[in-house]
Amino acid sequence: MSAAILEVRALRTRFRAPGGTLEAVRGVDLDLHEGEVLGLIGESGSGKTVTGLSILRLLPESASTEATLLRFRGRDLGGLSNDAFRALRGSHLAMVFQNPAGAFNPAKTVAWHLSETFRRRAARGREAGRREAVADWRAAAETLLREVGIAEPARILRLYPHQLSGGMLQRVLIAMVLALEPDLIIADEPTTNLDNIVERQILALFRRLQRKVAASIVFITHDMTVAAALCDRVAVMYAGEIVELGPAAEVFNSPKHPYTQGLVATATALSGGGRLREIPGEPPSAFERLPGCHFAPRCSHVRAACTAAQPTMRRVGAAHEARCVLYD
Amino acid sequence: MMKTGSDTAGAPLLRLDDLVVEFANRHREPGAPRRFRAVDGVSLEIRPGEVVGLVGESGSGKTTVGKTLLRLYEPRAGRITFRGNDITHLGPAALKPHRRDLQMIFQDPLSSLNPRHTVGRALAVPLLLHRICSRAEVSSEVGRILASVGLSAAMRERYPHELSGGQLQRVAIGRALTLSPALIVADEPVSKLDVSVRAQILNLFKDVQAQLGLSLLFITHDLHVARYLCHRIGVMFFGKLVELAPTEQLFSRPRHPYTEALLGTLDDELRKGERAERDFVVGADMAGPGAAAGCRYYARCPIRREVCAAAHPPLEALEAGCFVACYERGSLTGRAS
Amino acid sequence: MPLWRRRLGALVRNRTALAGAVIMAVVLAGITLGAELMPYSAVDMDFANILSPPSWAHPLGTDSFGRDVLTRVLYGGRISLLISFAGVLIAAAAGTLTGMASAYHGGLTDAALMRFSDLLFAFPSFVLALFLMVVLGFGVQNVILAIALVYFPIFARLARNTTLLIKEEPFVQAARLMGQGALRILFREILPNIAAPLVVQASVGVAFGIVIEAGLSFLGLGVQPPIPSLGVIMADGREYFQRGPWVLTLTGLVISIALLGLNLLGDGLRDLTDPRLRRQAEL
Repeated sequence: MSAAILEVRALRTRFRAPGGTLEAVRGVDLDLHEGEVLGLIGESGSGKTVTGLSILRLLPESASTEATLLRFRGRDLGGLSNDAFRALRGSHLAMVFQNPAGAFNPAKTVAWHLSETFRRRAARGREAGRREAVADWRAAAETLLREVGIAEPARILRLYPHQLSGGMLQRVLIAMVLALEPDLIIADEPTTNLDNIVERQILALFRRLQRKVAASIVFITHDMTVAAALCDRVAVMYAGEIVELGPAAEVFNSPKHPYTQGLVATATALSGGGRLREIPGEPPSAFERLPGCHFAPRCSHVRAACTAAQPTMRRVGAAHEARCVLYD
Repeated sequence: MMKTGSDTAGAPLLRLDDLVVEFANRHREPGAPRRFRAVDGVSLEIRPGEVVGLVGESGSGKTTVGKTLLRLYEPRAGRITFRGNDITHLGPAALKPHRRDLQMIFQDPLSSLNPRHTVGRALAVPLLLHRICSRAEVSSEVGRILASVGLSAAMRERYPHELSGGQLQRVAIGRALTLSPALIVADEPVSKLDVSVRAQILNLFKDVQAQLGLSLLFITHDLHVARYLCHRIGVMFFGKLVELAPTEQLFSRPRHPYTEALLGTLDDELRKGERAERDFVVGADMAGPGAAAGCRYYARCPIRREVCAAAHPPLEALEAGCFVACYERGSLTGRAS
Repeated sequence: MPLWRRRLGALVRNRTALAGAVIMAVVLAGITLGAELMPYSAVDMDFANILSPPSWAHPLGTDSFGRDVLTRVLYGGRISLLISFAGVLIAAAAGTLTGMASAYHGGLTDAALMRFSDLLFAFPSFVLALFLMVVLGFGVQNVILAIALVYFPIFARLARNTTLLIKEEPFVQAARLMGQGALRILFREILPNIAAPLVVQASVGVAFGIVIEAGLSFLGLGVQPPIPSLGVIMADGREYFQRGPWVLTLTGLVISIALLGLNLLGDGLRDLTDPRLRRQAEL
């Protein structure tokens, strides 16, 4: 296994809210290896997006994050000042958002956005002592747009964000990320709002991106099938913590945690016949914090030990873990 | 009671003939036309007790068909016939008696309920408006409806923002059912819900439809969700209905190239446990709204021919209730009009 | 937790709104109970005590007729507030109805009503009020009318714009599908959801209404003496400023405090109802 580019231990994030304190992330441990795509799967309220935002320090004032370990390429991230972190974030760490429109300045054309990206990359290059000629950035921009599957780059460059469809905007955003050549990309549900066919194309794009730029990606999604198609390893989150972690194929073909089993069953059942298997109940709200396993109220295998104390991760395969007392 | 659908020979419950709906083209590029056709000549029938799926991506016009059928939008051309009555241009007063029979479930359950009204009030309004029960009976009737969609009676005091997506959609379904409608248009009712809750709501739809024998126009972008509930499925692309067939036929023998593209889904890969290399289509993105006169799918079609650029193929009947709009796959090969 | 209790909780937590509410509570207490409790009369003259500076007996001093300024301010405040409130209420009612109808029906009606509203809005508020007083004549009723006309376009436009947004929401479409008539939809479905920004606007409007009334009365066009209103007292104070500066300044101070309270309350309410702060749930 290649070296770990990102190491996170005991990540906790809390929000101050009128109703009390909301613990969105309750102790997440994960490693991202060089050149790997790690899927973070979960539904609303699972904490998957907040995990991504916490790592990149993109949370609002009312949030507080802590971790016993938060390292990027061996460098401690926790100790960095906000300015130092921001510099890192612009050049080595990138984020692709669910709603691409939010990443664009609505008053500026696509061309402006791409030129800004090139400018920033050149500035970063200068800092590292490299001189980059960005003379003909327009040609470079068009090449980039073609690489992300846009057929008429010259026309698109002239347009404003609101004139482009969601799929196109997402492609342009990915082009901008490509241009930056970051080491680590956190992609937060980048295909959720897109139609199936466009989604598949964007996922293929991610695969290409990953290979070309040798980026390491944390891919956040609620869609099992998407994660299966793209990721090397997956971490399934529920109620603020990781409940299962392992190689993608193994987790899908033999899920161990009852929640994962339910998700996989729902994802595959629609193609088969018969009645859909339901997971009864609803995911817990972030205000509710139970003493034991948070999935217990919905679990068909629940037993006394489940509600007594928080379950810990147990080994269920070579590189596969599940947070469930069933595997003692 | 499964996939055969109703065999009620005779008049369909609802019929759309060459429906055309246009909208003003906002955010258009200079040179693009001012109006575009969201729905461009769609004809469809729904029989009593039948579940018809309408599948397509965003921009296909499927939601517009659903809303226009309910007269939330005004059609530019075409006819809507409900129970033999032409309701295309009826005014609000003339339409009112039909309102009980035509209801809708919306995609976003939270915004489909008035944030200032309690659940109880949301359910009581239709009951009282159409005098379905007396004022005294409202409370127990509301309780009954809540129970029928799997919610406790205590829900009636709650406000929409206090409920989860799944619970809200159940309330919306309950509200639609208060009027005992003959046809419900369900517009992507599960796409905004958590995956673990989707199965619950789909099963609820299945049960309710079977128990009450109502017709359903089930609009979705997910063919597999459509497969679970629908007797027949129509596939839409850019305002046109390109294929219509009984569910199993659509899946076992898709005819239109777009249907085939939609069917190449990821969960096949999931079961194989491998990640197949996907074709990376470097080419034109979707045909814009102001597309040329030819087949709408021309730009992306792998089997297109010269004749396809001239005119959009008409929807043509093949065997066993299957329809397709394609020169290559239909029997109009070589015979462009 | 019942909605009203939750709202109250949110109000208390928001310090701006709380400060505004407290100030307004004090002001209201003053002009209702306080006025009654004062031992002095607001109108009776006392020539022995003309223009005496602030003291224990007269916290705000006396004016040129020997009247206790504090008493006059409390009564005057009552009158000013009532006038302003009445004017804003009329503006809110008429403006909201117009704006909602305009948005719901659209087309020419909408265009016509909004152009009319723009016409009114084009004039600076005080100039418009002045013009109206000249046309209509002086007196309390006309001041109320002037304030109403000045504020009408603001409410009309606000109601129209918010209605346009809400009109497209699925729950309104669902109401149409239920067979609810237009009037029912406007009042039962739409109005409750646009009320919040209107209330905020009203509170700010009352503040400015006081300023308009004070200004008009100061110029002698509004409330006529000896009936005290804040503007009348200020007019008086201006005349005798050299000999008794406290009348003008202290009255002005009281007005400022009342305005501050109203504006804070308005700002706080605006924060509370801003959906982007995701606190709409609280209200």
